[in-house]
This record gives sequence, C-alpha cells and structure tokens, in this order.
Amino acid sequence: MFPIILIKGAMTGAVYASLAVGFSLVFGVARIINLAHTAFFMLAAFAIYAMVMIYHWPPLAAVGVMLIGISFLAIAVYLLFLDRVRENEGAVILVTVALAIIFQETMLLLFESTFRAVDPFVRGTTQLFGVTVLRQELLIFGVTVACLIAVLLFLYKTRLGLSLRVTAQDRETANLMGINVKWVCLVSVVVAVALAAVAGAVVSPTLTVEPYMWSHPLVMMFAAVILGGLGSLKGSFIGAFILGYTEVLVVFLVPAGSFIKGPVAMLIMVIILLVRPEGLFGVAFEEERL
Amino acid sequence: MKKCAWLCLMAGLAMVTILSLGGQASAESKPIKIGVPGPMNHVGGKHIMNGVSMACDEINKAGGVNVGGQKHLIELVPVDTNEWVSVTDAATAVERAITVDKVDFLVGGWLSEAVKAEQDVAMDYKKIMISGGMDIGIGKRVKDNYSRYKYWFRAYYNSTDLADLYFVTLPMFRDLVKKELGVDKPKVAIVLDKSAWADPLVEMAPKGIESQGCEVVGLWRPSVTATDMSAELLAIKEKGANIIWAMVGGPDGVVLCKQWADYKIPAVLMGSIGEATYDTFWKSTNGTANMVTTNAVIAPVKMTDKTVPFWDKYVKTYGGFPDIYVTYFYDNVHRLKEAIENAGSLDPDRIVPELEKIVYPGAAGTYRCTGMDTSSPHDICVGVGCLLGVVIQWQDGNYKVIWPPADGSYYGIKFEGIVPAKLPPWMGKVVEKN
Amino acid sequence: MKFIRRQFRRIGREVLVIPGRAIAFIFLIALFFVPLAIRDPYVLKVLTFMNIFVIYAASWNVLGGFTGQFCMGQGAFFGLAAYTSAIMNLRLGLPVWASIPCGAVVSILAGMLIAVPSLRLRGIYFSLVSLAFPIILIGLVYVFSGVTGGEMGISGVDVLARHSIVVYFIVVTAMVLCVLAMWKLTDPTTKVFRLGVVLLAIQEDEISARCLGVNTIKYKLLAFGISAFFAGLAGGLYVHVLRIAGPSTLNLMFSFNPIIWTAFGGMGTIAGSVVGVYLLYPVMELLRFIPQLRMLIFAGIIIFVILLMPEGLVHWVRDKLEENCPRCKLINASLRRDCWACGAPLHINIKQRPEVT
Repeated sequence: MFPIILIKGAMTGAVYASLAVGFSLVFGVARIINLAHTAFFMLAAFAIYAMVMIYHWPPLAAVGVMLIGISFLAIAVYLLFLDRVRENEGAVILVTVALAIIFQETMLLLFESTFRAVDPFVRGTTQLFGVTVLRQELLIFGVTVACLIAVLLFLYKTRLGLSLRVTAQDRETANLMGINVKWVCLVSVVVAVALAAVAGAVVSPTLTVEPYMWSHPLVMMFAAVILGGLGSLKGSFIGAFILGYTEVLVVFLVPAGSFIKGPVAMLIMVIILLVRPEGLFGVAFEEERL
Repeated sequence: MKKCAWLCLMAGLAMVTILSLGGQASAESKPIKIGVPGPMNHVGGKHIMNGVSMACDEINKAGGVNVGGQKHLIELVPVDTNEWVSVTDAATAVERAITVDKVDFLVGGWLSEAVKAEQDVAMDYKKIMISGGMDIGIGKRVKDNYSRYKYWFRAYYNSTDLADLYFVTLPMFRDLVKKELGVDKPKVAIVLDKSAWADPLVEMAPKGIESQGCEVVGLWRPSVTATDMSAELLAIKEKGANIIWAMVGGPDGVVLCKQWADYKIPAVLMGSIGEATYDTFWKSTNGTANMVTTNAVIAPVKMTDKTVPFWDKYVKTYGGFPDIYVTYFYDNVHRLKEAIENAGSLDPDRIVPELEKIVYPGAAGTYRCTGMDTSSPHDICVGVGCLLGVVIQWQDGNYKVIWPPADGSYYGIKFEGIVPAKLPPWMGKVVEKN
Repeated sequence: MKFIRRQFRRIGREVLVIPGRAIAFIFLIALFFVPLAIRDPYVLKVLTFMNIFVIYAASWNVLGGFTGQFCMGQGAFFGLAAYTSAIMNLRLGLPVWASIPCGAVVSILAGMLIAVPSLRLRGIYFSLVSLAFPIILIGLVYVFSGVTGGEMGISGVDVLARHSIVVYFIVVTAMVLCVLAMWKLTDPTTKVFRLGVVLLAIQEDEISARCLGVNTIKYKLLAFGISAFFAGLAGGLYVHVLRIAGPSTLNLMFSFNPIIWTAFGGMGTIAGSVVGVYLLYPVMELLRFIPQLRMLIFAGIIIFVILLMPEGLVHWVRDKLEENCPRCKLINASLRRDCWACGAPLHINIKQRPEVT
C-alpha cells in the first residue's frame, strides 16, 4: 500500500503544483488573484481534444500550437481586462470569475456537456516499484517537473526573471528603478498561464474533459497556495504536494469516505492556517505599500 | 451623460419588464399543454424532450387525445429547470410553466432534489405530474398525505425496489471467473457513489454478494462528481478483487470505466453504471472500456412487442439509441393519454384513479402502479410482468444483452439476440503471468 | 400623536431632501403596493426570492464593502442557517417563527467560528480561506446524510404562509426591516452607533485604527456577527419559501452571487446591495428565453460593469445626484442652488466673483 500512496500522491501533487506555482507567480508579481487560472487549464484540455481527436494532429504539434494560442489569449485578457482593474483586488476577483464563466459557457456552446476523452500521448502502463502506473502519468510528472525547473531557471538566471522577482518584492521601487511594471506583470501572467496550459494538455488524457472541470482544481489550487504561503513559489510547490498526498491518503485509509477527500484537504488547510496564518513559507510581516 | 442615459434605460427596461412579466396572457388552450421539466442544457433533459416529443408526434398524427368524444392535440412546453446548478431555478421554472404558460400536465424531471421541490409546486396547483427521480422519499409523501400528493406519479421505479435486480448477473460472472481463472471464491470490491439512492445498498450489498458465494474485500464510496478514481482503482487491485460491483449513477461512471480500462485492472466491471447505458459511452471512453456490464432499461430485443419498433424509430429519428430518459418518458406520455381517455375528462381528480388502475404495456415493459399498501405508492412495479430491464455488456463497441440468460432460466423469459457474457481481454493475460 | 408628527417632520427633513434617500424611501414604500398591480404568483415568487437575496447580499456587504473582509464563502452562513431551520422545523417540530431565528443564531455562532482564523489572516488570505468553509460544510452534509438528507436535502419544510401574497408581504417587511437595521448599523454618518465609521476605518488602514485605540478585534467580531446573522435570517426565510434545504446553497456560484450583485450595485453602501439584486436578478430570470447564452450574458454584464464602474452603480449615480455643502458638509441634491440647512450657495461660479479693482 505504501508505494501506491507514494507514487499516486506524487502524481497528483505534480499537477496541482504546476497550477499552484503559476498562480502564486502571478500573485507575487502582479498582485492579481486570477480565478480564471484553472479555466485556462480547461481551455487547454479542450484545445488538445479538438486538435488531437477531431483534426488528428500529432500531440506535440497540438501542444505547441495550443501554447501559442493560449499565450495570445492571456495577453489579450491581461491588456483588455486585468491591467485596467489591477489596483482593485475585489474587482480583479470579479472580473476573473466572469472570465472563467465566459470560458466555461463558450466551451459548453461549442462542445456541449458530454464528456470527452483524449487519447493518451503514450499508451500503456509500466510498473514502478510494483505499482501500475500509466505511461501517460510518467509523462505528466516529467513534463510538469521540467516546466517548473524551466520557470525557476527563467526567474533566477535571466534579466527578465530578475525584474519579475524585483517587482514581486517591491513594486514601487521597481518602478523607480526603471522597470516597466505593466509589462513585467504581463510576462508573469503569460508564464503562469502557459504553465497551466501545459499541465492541462498533458493531463487531458487522464481526466474527463468537460466544461465544468475547472472548479475542483481551482479550489485545490487555492488551498495549495494558501497553505504554502501566497507569493512564495517554494511554498506553493510544497503545499500542492501536501494536498495531493492528503487526497490519496484519504482514499486509502478511509475507502468508504473517499468522497470527502476535497473537504478533508480544505480542513487541513484551515487547521494549518490557524497555527501559522501566513502559510508555511509566507513572509509574516509583509507590508502592503502599494 | 451618455453613460447615464444608457444606464437609466437599462434600469427602466428592467423595471418595466418585471412588471410586464405578470401581464402575459396566453391563448385559451384547446390543445392539451404538457410541460416537460428537465435540464435542457444537459443530455438528460434533451433525451427526456426527445422521448416525449416522439410520443407526442405519434399521438398527434393519430388525431390527438380523445377526451369524451372530442379530440385534442398535445402541445409540448419545454421547461428548462437547470436542476444540476440550482434547485430554486427548478421550482420557479415549474411555477412559471404552470402560471404563465398554463400547462395542464407535467411529464419530466430528473434530479430527486429538484423533483421534490417541483412536486410541491405542482401539488399546490393540483396539476398531474409524472416525474423521474429514484428517491423513495418522493413516493412516501403520497402515502403520508394522499389528498395533497395524489396527483404525483413516478415514471418508473424507486431505487430500493430495484435492488434485487442489481445482483442477478453476479452468479454469471462468479461462474465465469471460477472457470477461466480457477478461483473458487471470487473476491468482490463494492463501489457505491455517495448519493442517496445508493445509501440503502451499503447494508444490502455485502449480504447479497456473500449469499452468492463470493467474498467482499472492501467498500469504496467516491463522490458523484469525482474526476479521478485511480487511487480507488489501484487500492481495489491491491486487494486482489476479481469482480468490481459498482453502483455509480453520475459522471463518475465515465471516469470509473475509462480509468479501469487505462490501468487494465484485472477485475470484471459490472453493476449499475448509469453512464454506460448511453450511446455516447463508447466515445466518451475512447473505445477502451471493453466488457463493461451494467443494468439497463432497454435494448433492441423483444422485451415487449413495442420494443424493437420503438428502438428502430428512435435511432432513425435521432441518431443515437434510447436510454432511460427517452424510454420511460415516451411510454409515460402514452400511458397518460390512455388514462385521460379512460377517464373521459381533463379533470385531474378523475384522471388520478385511472392512472392508479391502468396496466399499460409499453416499450420497456408493462406499467403497473404500486398500491397504497406499499411503502411508496404511485411508483411502477419492478419484476416479471412489470418493468424488468436487461443487463447489457459493451462488447467491442457493441451494446449487447447478456441477461435474462439465453437458456430461459430466469422465469422462463427468453429473448432472441442474447449473447453470453465475456471477461475483459486483459484478465486472461494477468492470470498467465501468475 | 406628537411622536407621529415628529416622525413625519423627521422624514421631511432627513429623508426627502436628499435625493438618494428619497428614491430609496419611495422605492421601499412602493414595494408594499406591488401586489395591487401584480397578482401572478410566479412574479410574486420571483420578487419574494429577490427580497431574500437582498438581505443576503446586504449581509455580505457589511463584511465585504464596509469592513474590507472579502468573504467568498457567504453561502456557508446562508446554507447553515437554512439546514438548521429546516431540521428544527421538520425533525423537532418548531414552528416557522421559531426555527428561523434559531437558524440565524446558529449562523452567528458559525460567524464567530469563522471570524477567529480571519482575525489572524490578512485580507486576501481570508478571502481564499473563506472559500473553504462552504466546502467543509458540504463534506459534513454528506457525512451526516442521515440528518441532512445528503444531496437530496431536507424537504417538506413548512411554508411561511398559505397564500403567496402573504408570503410576499412577510418577506418584504423582513427585507425592509433588515435593510434599515443594517443601514443604521453601518452608516458612517449616524450618531447612534460608532460601528460604521470604525468599520470603514478598519477597511482603510487597520493598523492606524489600532494606533488610535480602537479595539479592532471587537469590531471585526461584531461585523462578522452582524453579517452572519442577516445571512442566516435570509437562509431561514429561503428555506421556508422554497420548502427545501439542499446542498445547492453551499456551492461556489451561490457564494459568488452576493459578491457579484453587491459589486454591481455598489460596495460600502447597503443601497448598493438592494440595487444590485433588483437589477441583476430579473435580468437572469428574463434570460431564460435563451438558456444557452444566459450565463454568458451574465458574465458579460459583470465585466462590463466592473470595467466601467468599479465602485458600483449606486456610487456613480449618487455622485451625479448629490453633493456636499461646502460650508456645513451636509448632503444636498445637486440641482439645488442653496444648502437646505445653512443656506450657503452650493455651486460657486468663479466667473461671478466681483471684479477686484
């Protein structure tokens, strides 16, 4: 039983991590709570479905085209909507909720609510420490970890990444230093959405693709980000794995209660926050000098 | 200033339309209006509408409903209840259908929580309502308060009455597993999704399964909206189950079947899997979920004289094949029509006793109303000579009937076109590795 | 008699002079006369629900618009009170007028429970955490499905009254009383309670407020209590109109609705919640004609409003209708020439200044 928990938890955590890290990045740099983050994840899954299943493109090409398309969409969304209301946190929440609903409804109109399935990019199963794993799941794990490493390299080894980190630390000073805060925020949004889209693409063969699939990951992602500490990438990463393992543990330890794996994860988040309100790795005294 | 004017216009429009909502008078109904509540954006609602429309067309082509010598055509009013999202919407939608659209009858409704709310509304206005929803509580109300709830009838059965039928194919698979795999006492994993209709089975299922000579290795209860059951399936595999007995009514059915096939879990997947009764099932699972077995309402075999013609006509008209929503509501429109004709009037108080008495042979079986002596009156009886259903198995993309067994061993019922059950293709391979 | 005459004079002086308040006053009175014009039970039902949701949205406003605690899980209070009320009524046999307050009281307790972690959490953290509470409640609902009826919910609850017109009147009275109460409690200009000013201060800059000696913890708890109470009241009324308590009150969209309505109408003012519900809810009902585009249009309206009027409709309209007198700072109608209290000219036209020689 233990190897299954270890491996399943890692797989679940990896997916949540790629969502949580992106979300945390956007919040840290641009102070935007993007409730439509997982809606992009859903859009990516549908795009892959359409290209691979309906038009029969090879998966790699489909992912590439989808990434380009979603990046443009993210840029448009940012310039048209997010940039204008960036200052007002409440407005951002509402706008992003509305956007998520718009994406959902558009997909409903185009694809209806019947469940779609995407063919796996790599078929078959293998054994890992005696546990049956889908080859696709190995791909998911590999791709998400690779993307996360890529993002880390970007943030710490490039000048653009440096400006992102600086903006996250102190927006006003960054502005004074000559960094174009608006464009830096745009870059962060695009990077985050690309992360979510890649996750959506590789995960799509293992999930049922349908227009409402964005709400459960949204809640889990929030929990991961809060648990880890908003704005802390390392925290979001670890928070995601904690929640992934919690979900798997509930299923294995309480099989008759596997329907409450969601609420249990939430409960753990609330408990940890009671003890440490800023999250595990959040900064305790972060003065908002916006 | 322009913004101001635009907003004032919007506000004024909203106010005017609120007030005018009340003033909509509808034309005096010479046609009989049947409201069809259902989640129209969802496949369930669409199928209800399909079934009802088909029945309505047939009746109208034959001239309509004969009420005491005068013929009335039927007019359908779809009522989008949005029940998956909001029960308030469902209740107000039905109320609107009754007061604004002035429907005479209601045939439809699906989610038990919403049906209960709609039932209260319909009973307030004393409208006859034939609804779906499998919760036994909906019918109990008729027993507790007959004078108020007598206008409600169920289009089919409740989930508790159906319980025995879920176990009928277990001996078949038990013997198959014994023969092919050499296992004396097959291990069974029970999967019941967390919904009210499955709750009574938590107690009944282990007893029923053990009485058939099998061993229960565990009970899993995923959420109806679960998107990932791989953890559950891997746990089931670890326990060494040979058969998975699953009662899943919602979207979790597709997830279960698809992931069962993806991971090649070496166990038979059988039970009552709602999603597996739809024509979209093979596509939703990308053709991988081979040999999934489930109880179903209808199949293209001669369950009654009307079954095959109905099946063929539906396929020709709508492309896919009929499921529970299409079939039961189609039959019930005809049943209602006959009851009205027997009563000779449109007065609900005179139609109610007719609906209670009528024995209607439909496409899915014979409809007999349960009496006041049962725990849930105004339901439809389950069993031989009533509604029985079949058990189907998806074999290589084909929807095949495997029960009642071809040898007629179940009460002598024999249909043509029954095929024997099969094990999933990967089960044999796993045994070879041993 | 003198008391009544004094009240009338007060209305004449405090209410009718200010255009915003005058409109609100006329509107609230008009609500009582609606059944004269409209007898259709469907429309009355819709209006009844609208009034219940006004209380719900206003309760969110107390937390979100005034105290700055953007609660995304308001449905937890509503749903908890709904279930409690239903259980009290159905299983324990309490009559309607007892079960609704019971629900509201349980809701207050829940509010206190939720307030405790929020006192330690900064704004955005709290918003995201508040999402967790309805979800945890749903978990409880499913675990204790014997009591709560699981996803079926509890049905067969008593109705407020037999006739839909009487139900409407009860709910409208409740709505007017609740709205007036919440307004009085949170109005920054009132001399009766200090609450409104303090809440706004907490929203603007909590640390400065604390430096001034304000016990922000006490006031935040008060805000949570008030918000939970009114949301609970709305939940109790809802259950006794719909006759079903179900998990649909605990889903994500249900918690987002009061936020959307209030943001549309205007945060930081109770009138905003009223306006938001009264404008948006009928739009959603009307859009039933095009079910496929319904949510899409709704989302489009939200974006449209947020981009054009981020503060909300009421603030924008009020800016056009009202102005503060430059001398005595009291609110006046913009169209007036002189202040109604001190007589000072409201609009000073520079061109009219006497020439300096």
